[in-house]
Amino acid sequence: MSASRDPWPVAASARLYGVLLAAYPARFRCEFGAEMLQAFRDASRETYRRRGPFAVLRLWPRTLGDLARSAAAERFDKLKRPGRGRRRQWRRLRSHAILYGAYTTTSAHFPRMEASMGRRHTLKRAFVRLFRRHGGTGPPSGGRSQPP
Amino acid sequence: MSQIEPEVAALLPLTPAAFQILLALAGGERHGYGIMREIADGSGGKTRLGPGTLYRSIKQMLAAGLIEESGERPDPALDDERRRYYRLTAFGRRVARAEAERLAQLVDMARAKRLLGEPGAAPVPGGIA
Repeated sequence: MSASRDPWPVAASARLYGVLLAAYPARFRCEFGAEMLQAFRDASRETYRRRGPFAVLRLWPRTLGDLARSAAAERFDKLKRPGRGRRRQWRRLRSHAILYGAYTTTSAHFPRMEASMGRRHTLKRAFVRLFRRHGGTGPPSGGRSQPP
Repeated sequence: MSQIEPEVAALLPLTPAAFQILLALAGGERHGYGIMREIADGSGGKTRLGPGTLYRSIKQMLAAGLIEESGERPDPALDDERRRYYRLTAFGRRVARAEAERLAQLVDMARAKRLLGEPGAAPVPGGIA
């Protein structure tokens, strides 16, 4: 099945996932973005074929959690590497953290959404651990103690 | 247990995602979605790796020399889109074996402490099936 002949839940999900890939650093996206989109589209197609259109929608809570977690970790890794533009990266990372916080707060109001992910509060714990591992107080070096 | 080489020992313990990817590739080369499906099927649907975690792990494993790209071609079972395939390197196989031995040793310890039954015994009530 070609991408142009996908049923609308699959096509719409793939288009949205393609937009959300902007959360990853440009280099990672260039290297793996197309493959990630392809893998997501394959998963959506199979889910649609086996369990119907609503099952495609139910893929999203887990997909968003995976995306937020891996994009934040990839940006933290980028911060650890020496190079210019750290302050800008930190600012971007902070905006992703705010988005992620909004996501976890919202999901707390939807226990079924959490339950469908099968691991309650795992994302929050992973995020806190990630912050602790990296100091969690500001830019790694040469920056101010608070994010700009 | 065999003697572990220092460069292999430096990578242990592996993350669960990395070990599962190595296990999926131990059966032959696969593309990204093939790896995701193998992991889901192998765990009876209990473990599902998302594309973000999968490709982040793949990036790290390529850098560590555990896996390598084996070309790009369509998967006849899916469609005519070209997919990048990955396979285990000899080093990756040694790391996977060392990690499996490490985990087996932990399972033996759990068995010795009566946290697990003997192989083939009925599962502990309330435990993982």
